Amino acid sequence: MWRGMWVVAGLFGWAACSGNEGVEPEDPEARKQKLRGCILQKLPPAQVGAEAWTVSGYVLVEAYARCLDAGETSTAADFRAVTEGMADLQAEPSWVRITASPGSGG
Amino acid sequence: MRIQHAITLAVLSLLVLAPAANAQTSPPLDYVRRIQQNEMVFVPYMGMTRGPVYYTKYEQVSTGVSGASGFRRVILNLTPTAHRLNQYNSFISQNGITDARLNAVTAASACQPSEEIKAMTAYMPEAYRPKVLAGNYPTLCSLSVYFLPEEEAATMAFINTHAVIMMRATVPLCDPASARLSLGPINQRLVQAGVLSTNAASELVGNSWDVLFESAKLAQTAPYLFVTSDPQVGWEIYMKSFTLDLTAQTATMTALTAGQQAYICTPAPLSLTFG
Repeated sequence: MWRGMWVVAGLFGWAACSGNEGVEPEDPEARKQKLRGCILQKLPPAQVGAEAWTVSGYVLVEAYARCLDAGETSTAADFRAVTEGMADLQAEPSWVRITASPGSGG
Repeated sequence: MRIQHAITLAVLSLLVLAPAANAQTSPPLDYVRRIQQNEMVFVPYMGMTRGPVYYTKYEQVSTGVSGASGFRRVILNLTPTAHRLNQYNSFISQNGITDARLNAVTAASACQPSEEIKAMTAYMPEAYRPKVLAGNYPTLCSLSVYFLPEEEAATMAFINTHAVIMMRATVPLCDPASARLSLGPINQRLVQAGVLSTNAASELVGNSWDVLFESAKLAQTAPYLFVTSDPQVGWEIYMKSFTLDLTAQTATMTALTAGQQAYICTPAPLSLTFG
């Protein structure tokens, strides 16, 4: 009887601890997709039906910085990792071409 | 998890898209040294005696009537008056300047046939209606007009006495009194941060994305360096001082440009009209 109670209590304790063993680091790909979705929501809208549109690089950097969680530091490497595949450079150096549609998260 | 993150980044870094060609943009113009004479406006590139010549007076010049597809055809060129009057060569030599030989606007956006010539040749099949052709500098644009042989005298009489090319264009120039942005202090901050470095040709070079990101961050943290009340405006002017190589993903600022000030443009557009 006592032995069975300890087993049940032990299982409850394990279950409670397993969901609370410090903050699980966010999957980088999931974080990237979340940030991309957030960035796209903050950019000026594309024309209806447009597959790509251009925005100021300044606006893209600003949107990225605003989408970071509190405590996260913006870095050039992280900015590039997040925006790679959704933004291309243009001949006009102050503009970037956005190739992901809003809501796609990239 | 760190290994997974590193692998993800490594894979992403291998997936860099390589656009087809290196991008080249025109150097910035130096509006203070603008020269205007005989319906010609020359604006040099920064630090150079070379730059585009804009014309504010054009004329319609016929290249003669010829036979084509059983019809008669005339090509009309919209050419700067200064070239016919031989004012152009003396303008160039007297001022010691080099013409970049660029048309200020595209033919398709600036030129169209007049309503009168369209009505006069409305009897022609669709493919032979008046059509705007691209210009070959200094000709801004050309107009091809087909007509029937029996209509030649009346059509040419009309063309020779009327403007049948309608041209409306605006060249986006800046007021010479526009404020200026000093590039040096911004460059200095980016060199200190390791974003830009000087190459053997004394050019400032950096990774395009790093330059874009770090300079935008600098505009947000030190907006006074970018002069304008909205740092985005100053930042965009700063970025235009670079030439990007889209394949190598590098941003380059020439030593000449780095030593200059960039205009924060107060628009003073040049209007071009004909007809």
